[in-house]
Amino acid sequence: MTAVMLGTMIGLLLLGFPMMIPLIAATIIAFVGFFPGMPETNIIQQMIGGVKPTALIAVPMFILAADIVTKGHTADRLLDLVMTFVGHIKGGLAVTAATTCTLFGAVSGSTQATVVAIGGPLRPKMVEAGYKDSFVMALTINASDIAFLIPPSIGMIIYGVISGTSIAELFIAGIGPGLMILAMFSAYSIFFAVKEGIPTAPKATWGDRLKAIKGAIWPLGFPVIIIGGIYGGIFSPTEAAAVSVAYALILEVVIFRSVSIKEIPEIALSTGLITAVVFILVGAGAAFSWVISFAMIPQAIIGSLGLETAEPTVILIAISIAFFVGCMFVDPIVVILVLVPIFAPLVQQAGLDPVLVGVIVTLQVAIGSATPPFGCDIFTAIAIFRRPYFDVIRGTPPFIIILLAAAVLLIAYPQIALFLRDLAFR
Amino acid sequence: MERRNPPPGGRDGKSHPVLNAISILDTVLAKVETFILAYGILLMFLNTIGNVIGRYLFGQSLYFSEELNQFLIVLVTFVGLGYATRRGRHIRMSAFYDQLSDRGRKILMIIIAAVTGAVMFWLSWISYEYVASVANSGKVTPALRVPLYLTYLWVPFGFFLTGIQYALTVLRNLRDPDVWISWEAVDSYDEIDGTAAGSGEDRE
Amino acid sequence: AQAETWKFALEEIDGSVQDAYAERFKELVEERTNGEVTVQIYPYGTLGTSAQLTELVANGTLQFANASPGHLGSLVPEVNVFNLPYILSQSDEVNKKVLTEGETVYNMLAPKLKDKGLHLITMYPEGDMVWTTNKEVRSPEDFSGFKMRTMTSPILTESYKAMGANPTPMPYGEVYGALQLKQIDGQVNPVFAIEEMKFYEVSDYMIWAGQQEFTTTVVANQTFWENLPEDRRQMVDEVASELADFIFDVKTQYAEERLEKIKQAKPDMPMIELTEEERAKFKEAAMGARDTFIEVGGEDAQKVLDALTAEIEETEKEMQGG
Ligand code: NA
Ligand code: NA
Repeated sequence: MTAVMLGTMIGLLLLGFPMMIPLIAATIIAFVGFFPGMPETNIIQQMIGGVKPTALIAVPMFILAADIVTKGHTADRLLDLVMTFVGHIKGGLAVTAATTCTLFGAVSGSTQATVVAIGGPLRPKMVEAGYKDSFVMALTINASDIAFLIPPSIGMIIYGVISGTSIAELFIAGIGPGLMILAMFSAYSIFFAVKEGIPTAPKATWGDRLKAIKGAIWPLGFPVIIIGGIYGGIFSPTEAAAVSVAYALILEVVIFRSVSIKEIPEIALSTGLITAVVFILVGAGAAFSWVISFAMIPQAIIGSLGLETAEPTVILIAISIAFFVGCMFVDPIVVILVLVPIFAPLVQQAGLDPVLVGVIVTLQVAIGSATPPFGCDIFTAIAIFRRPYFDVIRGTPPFIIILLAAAVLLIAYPQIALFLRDLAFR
Repeated sequence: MERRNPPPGGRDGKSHPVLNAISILDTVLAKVETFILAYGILLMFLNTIGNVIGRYLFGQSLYFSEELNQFLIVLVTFVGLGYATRRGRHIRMSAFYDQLSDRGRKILMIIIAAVTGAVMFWLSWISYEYVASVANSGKVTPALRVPLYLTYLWVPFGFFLTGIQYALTVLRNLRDPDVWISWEAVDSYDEIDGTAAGSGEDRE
Repeated sequence: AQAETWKFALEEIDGSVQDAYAERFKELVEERTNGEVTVQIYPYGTLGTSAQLTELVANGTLQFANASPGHLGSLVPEVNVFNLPYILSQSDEVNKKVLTEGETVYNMLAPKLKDKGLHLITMYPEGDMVWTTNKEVRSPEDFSGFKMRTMTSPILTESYKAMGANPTPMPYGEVYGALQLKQIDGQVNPVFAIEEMKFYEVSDYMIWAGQQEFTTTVVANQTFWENLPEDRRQMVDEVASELADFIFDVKTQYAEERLEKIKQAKPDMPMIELTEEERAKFKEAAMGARDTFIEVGGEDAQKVLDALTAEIEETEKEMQGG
């Protein structure tokens, strides 16, 4: 029965059905095959229950904040700021791209939104400066992973809700790995620029820098609100999300005047659309994970893999591989919804820190979404950059290797993630 | 909110009274969905920020805040389901589908839309049953003491409208040339696959 | 008879009081049906929230589940009576009698549950709800401006308001961090939960005010129950009444063991047992919540409240007399 479920899911997925259908179809098969006569209304109970947890309100709120600033000037100003400071070093523009993704990550909770906001304006500049286009596109889609680790992160919110882990702690724990990857990407960028002999840009004057600081001082308020607010115990993650929206409105509507009041409902509509697209998957995923828990499939899978008695490190490696591979094919949200409940009994049994597991999961799904064949960041990049598939993925291998090295470091030294969490919460 | 409105009754301009009526009804529905989605999200924001302000400025949380947000998220999800279908924005993996010829894609799209539509109608039916059972149980929400089933009415409604959207997609593909991902949107390569992004823009 | 599986869902995780009950229930049932019945236990988190579990029992997906009054209250508002502070006796023996065989529970509340498709098997307490706080709280005045995390139940919220605190609902998973960051000043839970979630690490005091024991019910699907052969029903009832003593011992033992663990981990943690006079003040203040209960507790709220308080008083007298 498990094989029929899995086969149907993969089949429908490959045929191009909307992703909610493979999840719902597998659920229906389990109802009919395992538990004939069980009320089908349980599917609806779980779908509604899946979208209802109030902590999930943070998702549309962070999407709205990102949508507002993407319409406005925030990304450009952050870009200018970073550029005036590091633009002149070897590989300066590439370092700028990674750093801006990090800063923008403090508003944006998704990798794709970051690809859109940063990749759009930066790519022409970098190509003009002599970088290979394949390098530029690969850098953008992979540096967007940093934004997924720096709070806020939609992946962390959904992981937190379905695993019952503190979202505030997950957020804080994402900062360390995010900054580590920034450092690794910057080092590689400098190496690449030296190797390829890419000319450096002239050094910005202090006058330019001062101007850039003035321009970007307001956008720098986002990390203060989200990280400071959570660290200081002022806001819950959901409240921080609403405050981010308020701040984004003040910034773009009042201070920069780059978004008019009249445009707000239109932006909210777009947020509502994305929210629905994500949340119907959350609902369908909840129904799916309910029925597999009811049928005790996770225990069977873990048993058949012989993982019941495995060392914690082995379990973390197994989790990493499962999430990474999953995201090479399917949307990260779906992977989190399907795999977290499967591994939950194992994580609990092994006494693993659910926050550490959450950060590793977040990193793996981010890497997987930039990894061929079907990482969804690749398709976002194809749409934005209007380049064919193979051009977009050509430059990705070095970055994926770096990211996998980061994942290995994280498993070997969990303190990279837990240090800041322990500082705040322990 | 610019949308590509198809000419009533199909591209070739041939008018048909039933299709005309469908188109008009559909346009009205689209407006309602648009309104609910946009203002649902904004109300969610006002409610959440209002709770923060209340807590810090007046030392009082809004006692109904959590319930209102739960109501709104169910509303946005299930009304948005129909709207996302209308705009052809559901997340799907189209790698295999994209390799097919136009004719192959059209056939596959008809199958996908027909099957998905049927599943949506079935979900609409069982969610109606579920909502009826909640109504029977007499459950009320804890803070506002509103009958719980009232907050779930959107679920069967949303699935039903989505089913209709998929049925219309089948109809469109049978009637008109090109491959249609929904009643109103042609399947094209350069549209951003509406993944979990929130890019804030509709690139059509 | 052919082999069948009874599914029993908990609203607590492995190693909890509810888990101990269900494991023993499984053992006895499987033994007495010679293995014809297998009991399958689902710990918390596998099949949904407490409210969902109740629905799943009512519609026959599950045969048994724990349902605590905080959640059952949205279905049968009268059950909320057990969320009121200072409702139960301070004596375990009295509570055992009232909860496992009392008139109010089995003659007034059980029929209401039956109307909702739930057969009440038993009810038992899981231990004192203890406050962990960042300041010494000995009177309702000390609660002034005090952000207390409670479960989201209107009666509980009202109760803490009445006792002078500022009730702050939040998800269970966030409580530890919120205590650490001083977002809340305290929280209330049974000792085993305080140990399990390490709430004591981020609190300065543990306070016993005797206001409440965490109680839970075990419910079965009504149709399943009615279709059960007479001897099976009798067997379950026997198991349940045997488990009454067992679970009272378990909850006492768990509370002691876990408290010992806390004491070892944090030897200088002040553990405050409020005096009779101090408790009386909280009790008096909490009486305001009873009006709210009568308002929102359904048509028979007043009757249930009166019956329960009378029954507890009588039982107390009986036991002292005897
Ligand atoms: Na982020
Ligand atoms: Na990425």
